[in-house]
Amino acid sequence: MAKSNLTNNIRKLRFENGQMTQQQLADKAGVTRQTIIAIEAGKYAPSLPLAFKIARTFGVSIETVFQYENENLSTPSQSNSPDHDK
Amino acid sequence: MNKAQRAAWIALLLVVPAWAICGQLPVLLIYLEGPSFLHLFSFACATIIGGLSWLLLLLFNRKRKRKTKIEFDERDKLILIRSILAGYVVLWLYFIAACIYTWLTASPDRSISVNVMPIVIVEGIAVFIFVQSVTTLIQYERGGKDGEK
Repeated sequence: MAKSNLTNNIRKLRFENGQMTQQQLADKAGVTRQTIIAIEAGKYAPSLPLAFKIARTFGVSIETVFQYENENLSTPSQSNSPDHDK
Repeated sequence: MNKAQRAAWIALLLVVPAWAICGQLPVLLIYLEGPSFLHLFSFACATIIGGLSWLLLLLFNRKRKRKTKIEFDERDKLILIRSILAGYVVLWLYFIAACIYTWLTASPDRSISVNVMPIVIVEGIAVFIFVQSVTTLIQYERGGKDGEK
């Protein structure tokens, strides 16, 4: 099975945005504080709409907030390279 | 501790024992002493009260509902769905096990007492509530106290 990880920078972004509390972020994203805690700890992968809401709360792109690492996935630039077709 | 966790603890500590005892006792009395109006009436009362407890919880929650604070989101919904699913799976396994056990322990003339049916139903409901509550608490406990480590 492919090893995958969803990491995030929510904690860092909260402190960069005027030391926003978890409750403030939860209220802006429309979820409970427990959910923000679970996402920050990497214990819960949010839905796409919620991930967008969190990213827009910080005013950044979704990939700035969340990073997905998978050993079996290659980036589009790698898959389109000439070596890949050989 | 949020509303779902509180409800799970209440169900685990109060509803399941109350349902198992109050629902089971009249059935056992009927089984031991034979049917009487009092036994049947108490069984009917236990079933009706147990069945309507959901409505009471609903009314209680509606009264306490605060519109400003979010208390239920997508994660809570996911946890609820998973716990209900776990409850149903275990309920079906319990039902199959109960049927097989009853069949294996049938009397020499291969007949099964009709008193087995209400016992299986009442205990099945208790099993469902128990599993749903435990799985809800397990899923929330992953985050530690208030979801924090």
